[in-house]
Amino acid sequence: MLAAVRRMIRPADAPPLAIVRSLAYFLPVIEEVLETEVGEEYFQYARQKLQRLRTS
Amino acid sequence: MATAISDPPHGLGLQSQTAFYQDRYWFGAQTEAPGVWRQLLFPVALTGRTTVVLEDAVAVRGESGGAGEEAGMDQQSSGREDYVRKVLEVYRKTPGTCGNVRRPDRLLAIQFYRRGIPVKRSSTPSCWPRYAA
Repeated sequence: MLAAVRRMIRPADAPPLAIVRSLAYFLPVIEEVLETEVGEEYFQYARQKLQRLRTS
Repeated sequence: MATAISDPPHGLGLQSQTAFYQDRYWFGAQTEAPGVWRQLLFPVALTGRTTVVLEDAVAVRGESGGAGEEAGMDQQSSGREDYVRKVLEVYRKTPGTCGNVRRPDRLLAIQFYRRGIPVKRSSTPSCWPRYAA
């Protein structure tokens, strides 16, 4: 989820990202989440952010 | 301090296997305590016929077994399949992905399972916008 949110929230003039073709793409962010012990509150925030993106 | 695999730490059995992942070899093993499963992954070096443990285990996963080892094996296999299916389903539905699952993806999901990474952390919220290709 975190990786997908980061892909979606980018400057409007940023070049388009390529399609993800491998689960390994998400490996660094998974490691990051495991190492930093991201709290449930942050994921809640990310979900709300996604909802706002969806409705806007 | 390297440890010879023929003298594994923590009284581990040797019925597991070695696999190459992320630029190094890993030796997976399980404890032999009845009814309790613990999977450990050790980074190892393969030198000729000898396998050497380079560091302590980096991942531990505990799971209730059944009445015995065989029941535990069945539960573990079933649990692994469920886990892999969930991970791949989340991956497939994640915006920005191609929506196809390939063999390397499945193998990586199995590695996630072996490392004990909770699938909940990678779950897809119900509010995902639909991905427009």
